Amino acid sequence: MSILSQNADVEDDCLFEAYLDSVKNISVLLKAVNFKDNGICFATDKGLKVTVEDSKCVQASAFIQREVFQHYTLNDEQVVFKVNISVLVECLNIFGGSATALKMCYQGYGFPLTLLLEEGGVITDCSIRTLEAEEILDFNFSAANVLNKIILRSECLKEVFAELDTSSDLIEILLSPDPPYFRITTAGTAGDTKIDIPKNSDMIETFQCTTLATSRYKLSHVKPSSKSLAVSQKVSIRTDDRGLLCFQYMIPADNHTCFIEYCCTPVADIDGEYDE
Amino acid sequence: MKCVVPGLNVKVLARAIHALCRIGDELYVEPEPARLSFRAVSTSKSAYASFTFSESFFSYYNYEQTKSQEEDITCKVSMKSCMAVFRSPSHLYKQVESCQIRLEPDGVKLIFEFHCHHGIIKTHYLPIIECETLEAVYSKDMVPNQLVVQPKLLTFALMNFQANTMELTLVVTPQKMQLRNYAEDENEMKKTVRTELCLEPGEFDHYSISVDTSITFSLREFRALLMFAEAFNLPIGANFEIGGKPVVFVVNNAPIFESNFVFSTLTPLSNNQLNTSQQSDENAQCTSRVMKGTAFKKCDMAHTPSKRKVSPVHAGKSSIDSSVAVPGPSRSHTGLQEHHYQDIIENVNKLLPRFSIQEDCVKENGSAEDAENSAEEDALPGTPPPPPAKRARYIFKRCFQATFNSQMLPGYDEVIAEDSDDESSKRT
Repeated sequence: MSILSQNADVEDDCLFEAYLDSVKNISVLLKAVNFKDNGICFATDKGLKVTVEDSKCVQASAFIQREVFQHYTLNDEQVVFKVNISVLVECLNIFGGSATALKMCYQGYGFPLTLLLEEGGVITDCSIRTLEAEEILDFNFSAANVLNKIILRSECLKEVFAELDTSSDLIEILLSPDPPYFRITTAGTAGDTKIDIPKNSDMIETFQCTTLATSRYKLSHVKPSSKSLAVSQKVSIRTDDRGLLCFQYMIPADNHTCFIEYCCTPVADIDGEYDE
Repeated sequence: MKCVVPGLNVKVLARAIHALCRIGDELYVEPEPARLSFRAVSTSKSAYASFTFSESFFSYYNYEQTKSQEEDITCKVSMKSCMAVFRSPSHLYKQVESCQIRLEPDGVKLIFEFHCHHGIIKTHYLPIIECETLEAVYSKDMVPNQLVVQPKLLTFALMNFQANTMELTLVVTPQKMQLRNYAEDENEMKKTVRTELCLEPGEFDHYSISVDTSITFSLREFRALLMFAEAFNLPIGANFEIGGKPVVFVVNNAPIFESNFVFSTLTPLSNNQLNTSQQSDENAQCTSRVMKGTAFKKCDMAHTPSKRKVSPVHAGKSSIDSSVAVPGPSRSHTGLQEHHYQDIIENVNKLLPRFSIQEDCVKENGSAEDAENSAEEDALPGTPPPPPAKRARYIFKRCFQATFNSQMLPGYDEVIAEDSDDESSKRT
């Protein structure tokens, strides 16, 4: 047992408190969504959710279930605070290794997020200022509106995303029950590239496509998702009737599975402008 | 034209494209009934490379020439596009099962379709810049000097040279071959590390030298070919005549594929300059004299290295359909720079007397100055340098011109557009 948990005198004025024996998993998850500095943390009954948003078009959320924590106390229905995720990640990795134990505590509005990190008997005390938490976008991505959904193993998509032509502004994603099934298209300065993954590929676990749907997204919005892809085992890709793209990444964390959700809005198709 | 490259050969194709990308900016793709060629030429037309893959390289090769066509379908694509396609070799080697290349007769795109593991298909559509061919005329077999060497040997040899070595000189005699880094003139020789390496004929697979000569060519492009040869452990053949005429390097795995690299070589203007290993004393003296004359000219020389390559692709005329003339180096320069060039030549010529008669200089144990004088009498008389006053006047010429006054310009008082600012501060 780590020194931190021996000091288990829970401060009553702490709205939210959590213990972790190893920061490895939470660090990996936070790094994956850290494409912007600030993120909003929601501590709920189910666990901790950290959301990062960019230009009201992209939203990534990392879910760490309650069960992953060794100890999880919540004195309110929902505790929300905004904090600099880059700083948080740096603090978590202050000892460099993964054998660091963590005690996270938030006293309430206006208080900083305090971290107690311990490794090998050495304790570090961090206090990160919290910011005013704004409303986050609710994409309202409900299962009812999902047109197409595929679940595939991350390995093949990792290569594809790593090799995407960065000179291309847009990336087009096509999902269809008919060939070419799943196609990613980029148009860059060097030419066009189309990547086809057929539905009978052994990389695809589930293929549920009802209609042919093509949507274009800004490559700069989709690119940050490759961090999450890199640490995940499986990914599910869903698009709905508005063209909203939603990736869900399954990341193994010891005996549990954590999720990262990445939503991206499509580029509005002004008539004729993007015709090829 | 449509062809399919099987998995193992994709690696060869990728490496060939990588080598070609270090030669030129555009890739010429030229299919023929029984083979496919990829060619590139450097912008200065001093290096040319060609990879020809025969039918046996492909698992499927179909060249259809419709009756209406008289010419072959050829095309030129940007090298950047190709590099984007073949960028990551590791992915290619591990994931790709086959590569299909398609070129339609009237198409605007060159298509590379990679069939990868797990059923993934990656298709690249490269825009075709133009339809033209690239041809270089060079002789490979009728040359007096031919050698064949293993790439590893050359790689080890080149490791001894500084990383910033631009040009390599090979001095060949039937008894041995010397590799040297090339330095343009006395000044450069003084400042750079000079490396010299000797190779015995026994280290070569084939060594046949009929004409003693020394050839100097660009190392950058040579490294491209060396990388390719080493990747597949193929011997490199070198065919050349004398300095000034192009050297042809051949890397082939006949009959599957063959590659030819043609590099232009420097005309040995002051070949003997390089035989300085025994004359370090004279060097010191000569340099101080030359330095005074060329102090301000050095920067010119640094900016106009191409001038020294007096004969680009000498025997190898690249006949391009779009009739682009091979620009001579001096043509593009102004008269003033021509004057400089002359000065440079004069100064270089001054060095010639010192070194052309080696034995004389070495025998004299007197002071360096004696050596200079005697050598000067014996050898070609050097052109005297321009008088110092003339040079000074050139350096300070602006000081002798009238002070610039904006009112001297014609039409200075004609106002075309009024100041839009009400409170404009009038400038005099």
